[in-house]
Amino acid sequence: MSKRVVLLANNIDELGGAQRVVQVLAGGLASRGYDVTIVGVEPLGERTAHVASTYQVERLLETPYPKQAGAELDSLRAGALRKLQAILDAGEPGILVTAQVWAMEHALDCDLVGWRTIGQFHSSIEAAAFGKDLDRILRAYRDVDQFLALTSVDAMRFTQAGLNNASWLPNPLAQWPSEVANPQSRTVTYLGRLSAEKAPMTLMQAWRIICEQGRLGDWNLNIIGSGPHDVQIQAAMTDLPRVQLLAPVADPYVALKETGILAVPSLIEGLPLVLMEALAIGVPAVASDCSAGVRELLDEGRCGLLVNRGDAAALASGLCELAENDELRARLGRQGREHMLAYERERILDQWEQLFESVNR
Amino acid sequence: MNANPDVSIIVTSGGDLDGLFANQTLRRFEVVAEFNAAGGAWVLFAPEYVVLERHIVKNLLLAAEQNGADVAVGAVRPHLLPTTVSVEELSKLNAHSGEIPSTHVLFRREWLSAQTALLDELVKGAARIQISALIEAKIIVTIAQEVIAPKLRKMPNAKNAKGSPFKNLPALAFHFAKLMPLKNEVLFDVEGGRAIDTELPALATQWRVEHPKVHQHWVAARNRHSFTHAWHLGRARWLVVNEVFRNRLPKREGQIMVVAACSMPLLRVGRDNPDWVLQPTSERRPAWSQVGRWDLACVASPLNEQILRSSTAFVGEVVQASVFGDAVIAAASEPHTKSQLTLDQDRPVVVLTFFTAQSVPDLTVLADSFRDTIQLFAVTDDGSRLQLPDGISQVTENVAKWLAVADLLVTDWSVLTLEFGRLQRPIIALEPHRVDVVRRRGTYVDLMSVLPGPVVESVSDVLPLLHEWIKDRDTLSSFNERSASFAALAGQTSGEAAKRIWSAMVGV
Repeated sequence: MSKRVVLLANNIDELGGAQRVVQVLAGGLASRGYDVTIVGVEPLGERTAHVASTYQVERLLETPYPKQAGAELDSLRAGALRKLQAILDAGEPGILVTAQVWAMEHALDCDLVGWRTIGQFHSSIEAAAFGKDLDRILRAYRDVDQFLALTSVDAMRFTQAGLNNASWLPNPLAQWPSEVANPQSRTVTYLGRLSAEKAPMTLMQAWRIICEQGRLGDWNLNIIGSGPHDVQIQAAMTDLPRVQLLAPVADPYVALKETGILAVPSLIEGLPLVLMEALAIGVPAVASDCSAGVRELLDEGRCGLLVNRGDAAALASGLCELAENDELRARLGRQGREHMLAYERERILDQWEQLFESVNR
Repeated sequence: MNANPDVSIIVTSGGDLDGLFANQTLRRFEVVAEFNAAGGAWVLFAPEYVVLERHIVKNLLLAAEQNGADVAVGAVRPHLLPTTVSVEELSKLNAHSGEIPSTHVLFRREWLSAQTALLDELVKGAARIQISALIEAKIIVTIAQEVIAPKLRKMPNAKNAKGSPFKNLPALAFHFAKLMPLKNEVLFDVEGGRAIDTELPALATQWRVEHPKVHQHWVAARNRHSFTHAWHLGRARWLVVNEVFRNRLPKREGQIMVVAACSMPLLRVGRDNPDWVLQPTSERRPAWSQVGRWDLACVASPLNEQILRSSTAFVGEVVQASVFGDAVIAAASEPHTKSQLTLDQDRPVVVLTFFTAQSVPDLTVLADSFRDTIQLFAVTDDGSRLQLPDGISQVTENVAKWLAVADLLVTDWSVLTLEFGRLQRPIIALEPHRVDVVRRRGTYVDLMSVLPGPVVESVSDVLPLLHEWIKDRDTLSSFNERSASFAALAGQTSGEAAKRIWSAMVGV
């Protein structure tokens, strides 16, 4: 069995969940003796320094694709495909893992003879259907050796939607925090992109409700992130007490260490890495019931509270319930940390190796 | 093909064996011409002319191995995720034929060797296997066969028109309509038609009065994908749809898509219901698939908003307004409505509303019992013609007025239930299909606890309730406190619903 693995993603420079997962997986597999190359289709923003020299890093394009279709885009795409083919042909065929469907759409135009292919989708089927991804996934991943969803429920739904090669494998935690978060912390933290689907404004509304009810007077709300809803958040903050908007952080554990409760008000999610990291460091969460992944991570309420999505009043009440009960918070935090052991990097890597054996049959 | 195969595919009729299965996900298999030459621990019999679906052999193999089965059967229905079944259960699943194609079945070679009669049939080239022949086996049913993506309905677009424009006139119409500027026109692309004057027809009527220069075009389900439909799809500035599960409509830059959500609180097929795969393909697409295209949602009630928000990821603007609700309230406050409808002022009025014509039970016993004491009328959401016993009349027009004069509603959760709920009068839920629909599919609210009246399962259960109610109108007063909470679910009306929706739509 070839030990060569190529991990292909839309880009490998973002701080986003899928990119972090690709890097963690690459490092982990390389440490187990695999010859790993990670490939980003296009550069995005500042280049992330991939310090680990245990795997190779390639980018198919030097500049991002133009926004409009046309000759320039066609020419760039042809160049990207030539480069991808050259990377694949540089050694014996092994396993090609595509982290996102757009990346897979590039790989499909290459000669993959001899390669075993694994296609991933890093969100829920609801998220796929929300945009245009579901149809693309059904097309691009129909013939891969294994399609991987994040949870068993998503895998079942993708099967029902038409993929009979669907299985599931959760994302690994990048690192296991040795210390737990400060149990005395009186901070509710939101950590993520400030965009419509993450619904930070619902959290702001919830905070307003809490303040109007005169509750949680000794608690703060930290909104950490950036995105298209920056301005709205800033406007909403002006008459709200104890709210801070902070810049995104490279190491989420730094912020989570001083967090009492993580708020995840999203409308759509997959298996959110930030929620996994919060639970791993012992921070319980109040999250919207927006995906099978969130439900699985909160383990039927053993690690946090689930509330209806888009429901600011329910979110406010969940936050108050948790914030006003130190014992409950401590218990859920403890259970969350235990639950996250299953997502530890080495355990997930074991499952990846079993998967490699299976696709090589 | 493989020196150490897991599966031997036996093709007894010869032919070009090597080329037949080259695309399989499973690589560790061999193709042989006879059972005695099989080297794999598992065998599958295939006729020469069959091209096996890419993942079938691997899915069968993994299911069989993981469950320690003797036989793995590939299911055509995707809801049959790996399940160990008895021969009887398998027979029920294939009740129409009692047999399964041989290409859907993977056998443990050792087990099959002992089944001489079955083996003999297969070796002779039998393309189908009698389920009864598997009586000795531990059987696992799994996903294996053709579960390829459901066919997406072909919507008109320029791509479809390429190559064969005259074969796809709607596509051509859409293509040319798109080349023209948008027109101030409202296209109602509506499921359920306009048989009765509920929400969207009421809205259309109001707008026709208030905005006479804005052209309206109405397309019901049966007229979709016509030349005219495609033409208006390409030109109308506003698209109004009322079905969450519609397949994707094409949408031009600048077009505004409005969804009208006023359905009853049955859980949406697709997200909440484990049986969603049993639904027709057209209904199987998740509620999220269309959401990204909606610009505005008009919800008839707070309950509808709650349903919309929890069953989709809709993030756009929501207007809560019910034009039909306005009409009901207006008619109820008008003192002469009963006279206008030429009703007897002394006898109470009971309106029976039903979800569809198919869901109407035999009402003879009801008509016989109350012909002289109650004025009985029936309405269906789809407006189809009913065969009703003497004593019950069907209503298809002025439904708002009929609801307004009704003293009591008997319903199987037709869409009119919420509208009537605003009047805070008693409702008897008659749910003969409760077991089949409500219990299986589930609801967003607990019907038993929110309805301002009892829930019964047959017409004969309604009789004693009506007898008591006739004697004493307060007999259902124990449900009074629910009347207010149910009215809250149904929402308030402002009398200006059509105006509010219009200004929201124009303001998007």
